[in-house]
Formats: sequence, structure tokens, C-alpha cells
Amino acid sequence: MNQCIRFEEVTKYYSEKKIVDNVSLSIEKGEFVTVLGPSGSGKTTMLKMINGIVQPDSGSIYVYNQDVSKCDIVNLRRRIGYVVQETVLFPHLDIYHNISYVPSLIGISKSKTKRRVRDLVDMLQLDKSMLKRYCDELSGGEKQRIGIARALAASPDIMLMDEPFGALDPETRAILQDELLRIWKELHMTIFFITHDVNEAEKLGSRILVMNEGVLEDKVPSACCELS
Amino acid sequence: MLKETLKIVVDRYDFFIPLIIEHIYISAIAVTIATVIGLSLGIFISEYKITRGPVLGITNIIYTIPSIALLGFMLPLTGVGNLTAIITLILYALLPIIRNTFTGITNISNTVIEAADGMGSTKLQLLTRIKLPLAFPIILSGFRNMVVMTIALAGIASFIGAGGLGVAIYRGISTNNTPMILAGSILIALMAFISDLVLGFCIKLIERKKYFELKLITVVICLIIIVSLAYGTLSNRAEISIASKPATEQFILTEILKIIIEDRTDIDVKIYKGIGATGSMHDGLVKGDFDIYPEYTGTAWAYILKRDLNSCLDASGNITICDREQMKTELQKTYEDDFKLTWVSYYGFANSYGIAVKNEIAKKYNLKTYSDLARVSKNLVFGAEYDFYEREDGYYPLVKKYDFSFKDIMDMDLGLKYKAIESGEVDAVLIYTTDGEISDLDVTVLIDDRKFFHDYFVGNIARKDLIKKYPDLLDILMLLNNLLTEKEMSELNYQVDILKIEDKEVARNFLISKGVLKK
Repeated sequence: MNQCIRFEEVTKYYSEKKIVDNVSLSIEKGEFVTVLGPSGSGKTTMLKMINGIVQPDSGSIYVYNQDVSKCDIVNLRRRIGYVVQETVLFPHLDIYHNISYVPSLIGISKSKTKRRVRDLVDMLQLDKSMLKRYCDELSGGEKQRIGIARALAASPDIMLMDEPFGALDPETRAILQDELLRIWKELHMTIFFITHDVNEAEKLGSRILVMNEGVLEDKVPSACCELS
Repeated sequence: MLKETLKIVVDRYDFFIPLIIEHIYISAIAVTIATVIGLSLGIFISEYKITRGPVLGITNIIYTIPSIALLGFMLPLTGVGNLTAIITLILYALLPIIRNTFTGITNISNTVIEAADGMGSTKLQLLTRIKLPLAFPIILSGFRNMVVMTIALAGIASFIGAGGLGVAIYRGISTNNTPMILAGSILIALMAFISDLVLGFCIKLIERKKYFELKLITVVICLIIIVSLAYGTLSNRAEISIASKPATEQFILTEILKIIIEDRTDIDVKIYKGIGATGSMHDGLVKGDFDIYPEYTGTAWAYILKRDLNSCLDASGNITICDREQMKTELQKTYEDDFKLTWVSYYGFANSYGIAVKNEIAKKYNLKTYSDLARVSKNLVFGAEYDFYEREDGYYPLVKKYDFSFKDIMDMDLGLKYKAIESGEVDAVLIYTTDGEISDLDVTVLIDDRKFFHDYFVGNIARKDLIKKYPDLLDILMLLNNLLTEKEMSELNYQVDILKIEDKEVARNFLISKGVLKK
């Protein structure tokens, strides 16, 4: 089987509160999973358990059949693209060095990195002159594209995206959603995408999950519209 | 006053420039080491937050210790000179750099750190690529405070014999030379101000993300520091170190020593002027911080041997005032046996307490001796510095011996005594017999006809192993034996204190006039 991410009876508490409640989940390679749910429902915590930022109190998470709590976490993270809420860019690095952050951690050669950044700039339809600028000079949509470019830089097979388009205006959001779909199809990646917008979940997801008070439910795409 | 200050800097640029370089040298070493230690500690306590309380607490406490006190604590541990100064400066410099490193790192937004962490940064990569660069502006502003403070504080370090511009200030204070004090202070302030300006500019460059210009400035600063470090290391090659107490007379004597040794040998001599009081001079010499210093027999007798100046035994076994030759013999024996030090030569004069009256009063009452003074003392006002009234060989025993009954007594600051007698505020005043002012003012020094005051003969104390290493030194130092009378010493002090001629020059001219040194 092409199993990519697997949760086995995962539970997580924050102090007394059970934030993730006995979740089991299996995600196949190439799936675009969108996770819906109100804030505080535990979706971000689930995402952060996949790349080991948060450890579960019980149960296990497997990525590529490796137990996240036991494998070389740094190496695993480098193979997972990570786009966070409001896409935090590093303010002290220019755009070029933001995009090439993970390749530089791995130690990929400069010429190879340069080619990769150029490809990403094309793929995300960014302006080349932007590369020498810093993030405080950019618009929200531009920052988002760069955040995605940065997550893609080391050619990961998995992308974790935590409400990446939450702060954007509807028009920009729609454009970026289309581009993300295009990239997903082009690169055959597995994407774990968190949102609280039902339409977004519907539009992007090949499979939609709903998180509610730490409990996970599968929803078929057609059923979700009735939900809202 | 400003004009005089400027003049002194221009005229004695060859005195000030090495001091400036040495000031940079001391500050730069302290700043560099403090930055390395402070950064490491700051990073450490931001990673292991439990350690934060103790580390910041201890550095805070150190920071609140007055600098003079801290220098005093360090003195017995690391001796006189630059090392103690640098250690002290480092201790003070730690707090701003540790605190700002800690604040800078802990203030970084958690989401940024989590993003970098989630992308697969190792702990070290997280530190060097994210945390430190983002904390850099705050660290740099702490660094800026620290540099300015260190440069200013380094001025105090000369009190324990370190170099730098504090030497000028201290010299100015000891020789009552206000333009010299001002020159040293202004130069220090100027250095601090320029550093502040440059570092402020650097912070601005970072804010504007002009990293190329920043690199350029860093290179220039590094070059300046390297040059001063090289200079500092090279100039520390002196083979003999001579130290002095903070007094004009001692400055002149050490210059005489340096000139004569360098004239007759190839040995490099370095002078540490104004190290401190008798106790720290003696400790420094015993420990080998320096090799020679001039000392007074009576002082060594009372403070080092802890013997009573009034209770020697005479030939028939009676307790009496100590005989000067007997004192010299016993001093020599104790110093050689107990301290491995030796009294080499005596300059011939004694710097003792004395009483001076204005010439017109001396004439009016026909005063020549203390006994004469006692006759008329009920008409006169006597002045002395505060501690004279408390000393065992001070005012009250003196009054008892000569039966003085002054109309009034005044206590006054050392530097104001001569002004007071000139203005007629006091009629008789306590003096040191080699004070420069005696040569200047219309005063008569009376004769201690019943021998109340002790003679404080000035000799050179040297380390015995120095003499062993350079046997020729013995003969050279003996050239100074009986070289100076009280009147001549007073005249030399006068040239430095009142005429403001440089001590080095005064010493040289005197040696030439005595024929010891060829032109």
C-alpha cells in the first residue's frame, strides 16, 4: 500500500483538556486532505504531531511507516513542506534566502539551489525582482506565494498547510487555491490542509475530514455543503 | 582652561597617543572577552531557562559593586596592572551583553521559531540562522552600552596601575594639574562618544538592511583593534617594572630611575605610576608585579614592620626614638630575610613632617625653631590636614612635647594648606619638607629642635632576584645614593606641581645638571 501518514489511537491533552481524542487516520500517498473544524477543535495540534513539533500523550504517528517519535526528526521534517498560519517569513532574510532556507539547511549546492529557486519563481508566478527584497515590503498574497515556494524548495512529498490562506482577500485566495491545485496535480504530492472555510475545504480536498472537540469524522465532499 | 587643555594635548601628544592606544587595547580585550562569555551565557540561559535566575542575579550583583571596590578586591588576586583592570572591566561588561542576548532571543516570536523548527533546522542551525540574527539588533544595542561603559570605566583602572587615559587623569590629580585631568577626561569622553556614534550607525544600517556597509565598518573596527592589540602586546615587553605611589615626588624619582637604568644598560624599563598606598605597593613588589619602588624608611618601619617609631632601645637599653641608622639596618635585615627584597640606595633627603610659618611672622617674632614657636603660639592659628589630628605622631603628642597653645586650629585639605597660609587664614601650617610650594612661597620652615618628627628617608626597594639577574644594577642604583637634598627635591616638585613641567623632563634636566647623565 502507498500509505503515507498514519495516526494510531492518538490522544493529546493540553493541561486537563483533551484536545485530540483517540484519533486513528490513514492517508494515502497523493491525497489532498482538507481538515475542517472550528478553532480549538484540535486540527492544528494534529498537524503539528505529524512533523513532531507536538508529541502525543498516547498512540503513535507514522510517516512513511516510520514512528515520528522514534525516527530522525530533523531529517523527516526536511522532507515535509511546512506552511504555517499567515505564513511566517523570516524577517532578517531576503526573499531568495527565505525560499532557499531548507535547501541551505541540507547543504545543497549554490548553483542547484539557484536553479530550484528560479523554477519555483516561475511555478508560483512571482516577480524575479522580488528576490532581493524583504518580507515587510510585500503584500499578503505575495507572502503566501513565497511561503508555498519555501515549503516546496526541497521537493517534499508531503505538505502540511495550516490555514495558509486565512488572512487573504477572497480574490487572492481564489487565485492561490487554483495554483495550489495545479501544483498538487503537477507534483503528485500528499497535502494535509487545515481550514475553517467549508468552501475552501470543498474546493481543494480530495477527501474532507471534520474535527470537532478532538474527534475526527470522515465526510464525503458532497455532504459537506449541507453541513454549512 | 579649555585652551590650556588643548595645548597640553598638542604639546604632549607623544604622551597622550600611547595612552589612547593603550586605552583602546585594554577596552578592546575586555569587550572581546566579555562579548564571547556574555553571548555564550546569554544563549545558555535562554536555552535552559532554569539557569536564568542565578546567572542574571550574580551578574546584577557584580554590576552594583562600586568599581573602586571591585578593583580593590581583585588586587590581591591578580596584582597590579592591566590584567586586573581587564578582568574587572569584563565583569562589569557581562551584564548588558548577557541580558540583551537573553532578551533578544526570548523576544523572538514563537511562530517564527516554530516555523524554522518545523522545517527541519537543527538546534545549532536554529540558533545561528534564526535566533541570533533576529536577536542581533537588541544584542548590538547591549553591546553599544557595554562598549561605552567599558571605555569610560577603563579610565578608573589606572588607580591599580593599568595604562590608558586614566593615567593622565590620575597624574593630573596627583600633581594638581587641572588641564591634565581635563585632557584625560575629555579624551575618554570623546572615545566613548565616537564608539557610541559608530555603533548607533551600525544599528541603523541593520534596520535598513544595508549589510554590505555594515561589513565594511566591522572590518575597519577590527583593524583598529588589531593594531592596538599588536601595539599593546609589543609595548608590554619591558624587562624591569618600576612602580610609584600617587605623589609628584615619587613620579620624579621613578623617572630618574628609568632614565639612569636605560642610559647605562640595554634594559627596557616601564613605569607604573600611582599604584596605591604602602600596603599594595609592598604586596605588588613581593609578588613580582614590579621590581623596584621608592619607599620611605619611617613608613616601612611603621606599616610593613609594624614597629613603633618611638620605641627603639638605645645602647644602654632605654626606650627612645629610633635611631635612623639603626632603623636602616633593621629594615634591610627584615626585608632581605622575610620578603626577599633589598633597600639599594638612599637618595639622601628625607621627606618628613615640618612646620612652616610665613616669612613676615618668622621675622616679627624672630622664629627659628619649634621652641621659638611655642613661645608665641597663643597668638597664632595652626592648620593641618584632617588625619594629622588623629595620628600617633600627630598634633596632640606634638603639642604635649613642645607645650604649644595655639589660638585656634583648623583642619583643611592637603591642597588648600598653602593657599590658607598665603591668604593669612592660618599662621603656621603642617608641611612635608619636600613640598614644591616651599620653594615658591614666602615661608620659613622651622627647625624641629627637640626632634619630635621622624625622618622619612627615601630609598629604593628592589627585588633580590632582580639584582641577581642584573648584578650591574647595584652599581647603577648606587649612583643615586645621596644625590638629592631636601631643598633640591622640593625644587623639583615645584617645577612639576607649580610650573607644570613634565616629570620626565624635570628628571632628565636634574640628572644632567648633576653630571650623572650626559646631554
